[in-house]
Amino acid sequence: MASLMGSEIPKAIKFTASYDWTDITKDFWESAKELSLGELIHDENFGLFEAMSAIEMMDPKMDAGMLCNRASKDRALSYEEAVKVLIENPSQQRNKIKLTELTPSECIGIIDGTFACLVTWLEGHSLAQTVFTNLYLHRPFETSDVVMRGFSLTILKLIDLLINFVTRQVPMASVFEEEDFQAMTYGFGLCNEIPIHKASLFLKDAEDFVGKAKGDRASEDLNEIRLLDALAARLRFTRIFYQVFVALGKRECSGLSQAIKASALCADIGQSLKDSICLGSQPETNQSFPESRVDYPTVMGFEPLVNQRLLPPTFPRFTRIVPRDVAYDRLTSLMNRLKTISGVSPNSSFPASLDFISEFSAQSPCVVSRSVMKLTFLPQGTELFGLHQLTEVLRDACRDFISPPILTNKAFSQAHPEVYFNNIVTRESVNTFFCVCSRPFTFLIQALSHNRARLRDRLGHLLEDFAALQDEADRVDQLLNSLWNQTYGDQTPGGSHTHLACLGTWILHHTLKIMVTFLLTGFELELYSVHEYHYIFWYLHEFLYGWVVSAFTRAEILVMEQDKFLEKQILQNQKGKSGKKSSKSKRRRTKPYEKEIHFNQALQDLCGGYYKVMKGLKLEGKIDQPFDEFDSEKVRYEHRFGPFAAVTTPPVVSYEQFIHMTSILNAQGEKPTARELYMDASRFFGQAKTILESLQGFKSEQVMSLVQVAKTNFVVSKLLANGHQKDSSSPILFDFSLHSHFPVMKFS
Amino acid sequence: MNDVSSTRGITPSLDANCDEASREPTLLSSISTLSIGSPINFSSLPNGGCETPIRYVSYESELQMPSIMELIQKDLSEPYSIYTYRYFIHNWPKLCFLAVDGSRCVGAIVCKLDLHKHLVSRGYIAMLTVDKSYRKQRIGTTLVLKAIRAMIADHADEIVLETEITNKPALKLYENLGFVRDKRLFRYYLNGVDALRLKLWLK
Repeated sequence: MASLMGSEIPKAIKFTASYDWTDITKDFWESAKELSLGELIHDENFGLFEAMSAIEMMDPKMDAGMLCNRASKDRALSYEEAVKVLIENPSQQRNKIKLTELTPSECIGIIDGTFACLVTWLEGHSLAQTVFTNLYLHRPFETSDVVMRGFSLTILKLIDLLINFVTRQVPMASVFEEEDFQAMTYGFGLCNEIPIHKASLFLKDAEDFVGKAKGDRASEDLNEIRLLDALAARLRFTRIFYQVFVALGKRECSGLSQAIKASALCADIGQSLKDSICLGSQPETNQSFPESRVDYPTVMGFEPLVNQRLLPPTFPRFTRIVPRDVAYDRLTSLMNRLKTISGVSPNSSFPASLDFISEFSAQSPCVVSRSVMKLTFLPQGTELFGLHQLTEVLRDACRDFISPPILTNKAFSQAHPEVYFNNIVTRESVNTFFCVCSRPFTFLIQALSHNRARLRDRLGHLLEDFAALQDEADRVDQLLNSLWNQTYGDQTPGGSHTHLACLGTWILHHTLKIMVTFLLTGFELELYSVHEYHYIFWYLHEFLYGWVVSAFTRAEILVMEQDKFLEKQILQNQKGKSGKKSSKSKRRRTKPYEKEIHFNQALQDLCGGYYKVMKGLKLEGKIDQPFDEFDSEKVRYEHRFGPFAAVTTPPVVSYEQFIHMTSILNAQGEKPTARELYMDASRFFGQAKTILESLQGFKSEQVMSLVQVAKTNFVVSKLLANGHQKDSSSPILFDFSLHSHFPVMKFS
Repeated sequence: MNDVSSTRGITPSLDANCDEASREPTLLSSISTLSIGSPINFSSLPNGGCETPIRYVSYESELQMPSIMELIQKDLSEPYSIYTYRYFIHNWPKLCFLAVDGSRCVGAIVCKLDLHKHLVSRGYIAMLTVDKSYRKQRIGTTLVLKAIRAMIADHADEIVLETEITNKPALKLYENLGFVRDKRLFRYYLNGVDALRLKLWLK
């Protein structure tokens, strides 16, 4: 201990105070003898966290300061020290840094290495152990190499922009709950003094320099030209990459058109850079390093250990940097995702936006793309795209979905001002309702901006908000309906059209979507064991999809009635006038939700098929069941559907109901046999397949893979019914590679 | 990435915004590749199950500490300090069991049990390991069973643990005992692998 504290203090540490060290080793051992076996003196607050943060000095696996944990006998050099060594001995081969006359190959190596670090950082590691191991970034202005200067500056500005997107916006994108995104910059400057737009100028200088160098060497040396081309492509990539974020950061989506072009271009270049990685300087593998060091060897310009002293002692001792080619792949796909976001029209309706966000989220995008998405759609939290008041957008969405008479259109409202415009209570109730709506819908978008694991948690809680919204919707519906009846009595315009369950059905449809997503994400996140599949699929089949279908059906009826009524009104108004305009008036919608309804029916059938197969397999003892000393299916069931208890419509289905409903006997008054169950299943899968195949042009990509799923499962359940692999103890595997929620069944 | 799991470093100052769940220091619960092979015939399991000369003993004294540490450390790329072991074992010595072959410690389970959110008596399986050459003998299952029974005796309401999503044998072991995959933890471990929080409700 004494030696560590006394003589071996690394010279690099500059103490401002002087210390008077005393060797207490002997006293320490002497005193320790007073303790009995297992006795430990510790502070009252020394808990698990402290225990785990403690290190044992001189234990090579823990003590990062020990000689054996260094990359080599040489100490890690800071930027200043590396430069000092360089000045003292400019010709030395293994200098850590060069300030002038970097070769194109060295530049390429440093750029590729830096992007690899950038990607690693974005995956949750610290800046100190990734990007800031590049020494050029410590003092970007001191480099006289114009290429390295331009590149370094832009990277620093880029980091600043990225941190801004993810953490610094007001309100924050807040997409990284329960997820590491390390925005700490450890005191490194990010060139705040340079305005955002100037950074590209430095990079432009670098590009010009390389262009000129290429011109000077025209056709002399093909290899040299290849190198310069590869370098130029990297600088261009960096500049456009940066520009994408500058454009996306513009207010009110004004940069989207610029961002879409830039991100497309950047994705193209990114892919091509992979081919020229070999031209850059590569880590020298012939140097020897301790086996434990996965961060060495590296190339000139990098020093993985340089920031070690900035980190707490128990910090992970090293970070595995992603390979360069993988880094370019990830950056390219990031650009592709940003291209998709930039392609969204800022005038998209709320349902279209929500669909986009849901589909985007389903691809498990990275933290940066999720932040960009969140900030594009809800930059301030109250306006869609920062342009349209959420209350208005939601009002439009509700009107389009179910055509509540109160919202339908001006002509209608004006025809019946006594119901709406003259009644302050009504008007305020409707207005208040849409104001109340905006919060839960904001939360929904927020939830969809999290990673998928976090999304699921959030959806569970969101059901409470939507349950409250459902109550409010029902209350307003009741109020409107009673006013309606008072005004019209039995003479309701539009036939049976009332105001019951209009707003309510709209909210219900969203609540159901959340419930379905909550259950389905469980498959995607691998949360269910096979012995649990039966009740999950049963719940989806028997209840949720049934409710979804009925919500759409009700909306469809209301919309069609309303359209019919409006058409009649218009025709009446235009009687006697020239009939020319009437054909142009709002067209009557016939079965607006036909495809939605069929699609959900198909999913309902699919789930029915899985349920029957699971029941058959269980009956035949082909699914491992847990040890019953501690296991209880009731407890598992109740926890799985626990969040649904918050919702009153639809009511949660209790375990007792589940047991009751699933023990129904067949026509002969007997329990169904496994064969019967498999036959039922194949019928369900067959139905699903037929319906899905009829859905042309609807969610085509998803429908296509679902057809495949239904087809295969149809065959497999038929085979099961015919006794295929009857003697195998666990004949079926569930493969989620084709669809993340609906598995393909396979014989093992 | 090798098959040895690396533990997550504790970086509270950096984990802004995390909720209670991720603020707790993370331990690798089921270390490396516990293999259990075919479904377990539980009827043969009340006290050990297999006909191996394995004895199961409770933790007795600090003298056992080095062998426990040695056993567990084999499967970790970043070691726990001795204080981590002491935190658990000194506070809950009755919830630490060892599998011993002769004088050799070949398996260990380390747990704790305390109040979670002032409400639930929550047991936590912090570490479980079985020596590579002693696997597939249900030693892991027996250790977990012993721990669960001890926690039930201490009035546990539930038992939780975390394990890498890729650690199929451990998942199978716990699921066979009725544990449910309650929650997925995104990039929980340093190597970027997600974890699953497994839970067994006892009441």
